[in-house]
Amino acid sequence: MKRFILSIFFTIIALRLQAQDVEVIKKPQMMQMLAPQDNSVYVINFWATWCAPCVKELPAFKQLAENYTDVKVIMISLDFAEDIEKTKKLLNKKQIGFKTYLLDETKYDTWINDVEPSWQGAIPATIILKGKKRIFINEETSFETLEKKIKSIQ
Amino acid sequence: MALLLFVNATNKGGYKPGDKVKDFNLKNIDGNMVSLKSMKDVKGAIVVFTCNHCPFSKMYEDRIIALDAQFKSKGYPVVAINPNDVKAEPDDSFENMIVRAKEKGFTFPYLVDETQEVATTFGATNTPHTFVLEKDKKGNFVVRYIGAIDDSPKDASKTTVKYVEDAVNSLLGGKKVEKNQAKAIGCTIKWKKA
Repeated sequence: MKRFILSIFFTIIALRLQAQDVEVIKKPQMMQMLAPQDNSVYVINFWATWCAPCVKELPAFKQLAENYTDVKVIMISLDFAEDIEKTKKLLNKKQIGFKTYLLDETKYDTWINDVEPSWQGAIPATIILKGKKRIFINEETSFETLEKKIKSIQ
Repeated sequence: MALLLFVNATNKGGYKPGDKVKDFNLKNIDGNMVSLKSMKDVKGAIVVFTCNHCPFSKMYEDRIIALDAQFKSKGYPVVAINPNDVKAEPDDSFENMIVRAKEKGFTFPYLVDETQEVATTFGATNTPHTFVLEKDKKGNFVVRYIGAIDDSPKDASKTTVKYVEDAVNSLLGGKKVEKNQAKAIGCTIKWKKA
């Protein structure tokens, strides 16, 4: 009986972990994401669970990913790595099922300039890439704005 | 119209280290107006754009109080400015500023930038966002450092570099500020919508 309960318990845990795939990454992996080798449109959003305007605009990115399947939507959470369960919980609540990332780099001055020299580090921040073209949005955005920008970068 | 053009010409995108600061005159939580000029016997100032609601600002509250304790008597007092639009963030109202300052025991002015003109002129984008100013012989306040307070927001004990402290200590020692800019993540300033 005990073993049966334990196996149910572990199955539930496994299912929960699968539900929210948030990969912890470091600077090198992030920099690779910012220099894509193909000609797809990439939309990279920096957010955190503690940032209210970031959370408010999450549905816009979900809608973008759903409506434009050839646009690569990359969500990078700046939550502290030890708070990853909070990140997963929130993504689950917002029904964001695609794989997202958490950047575990708290020495911010060592990477903010490399992501975008004009960025002071305030979030939300979104970068739209296509080949060598780049658009930087340093404010809360909307599905309509994202749609407009991805059309303009084509 | 001419005045607007002049302001835009001299202040594209905010201050850089070395820029002279245009004085401000903002309301403090005690109802009095505070300007840089009104601060007597100072060698400079540590201007911090901060607010009540932002978790990153909250992480730094004790350290901002500590900076004031460390440097006010040496001529570099802290001046905190809340630049946020109350409509966008009701937690950052003037009334709540008074409450927060009392709760935490702020020892410095906590000013409200109601029109957001000062935040725009400085080029502040985050909360918190710190500008260390040095008073020159002519009485102008010159920017000497811009950016983060230190390199460890969550845990003060894990700090390896204290940018603001180092900057002020350099100035007090008559030396040039070596690291005059450092970036950190934070909340965006809540700008008024047109």
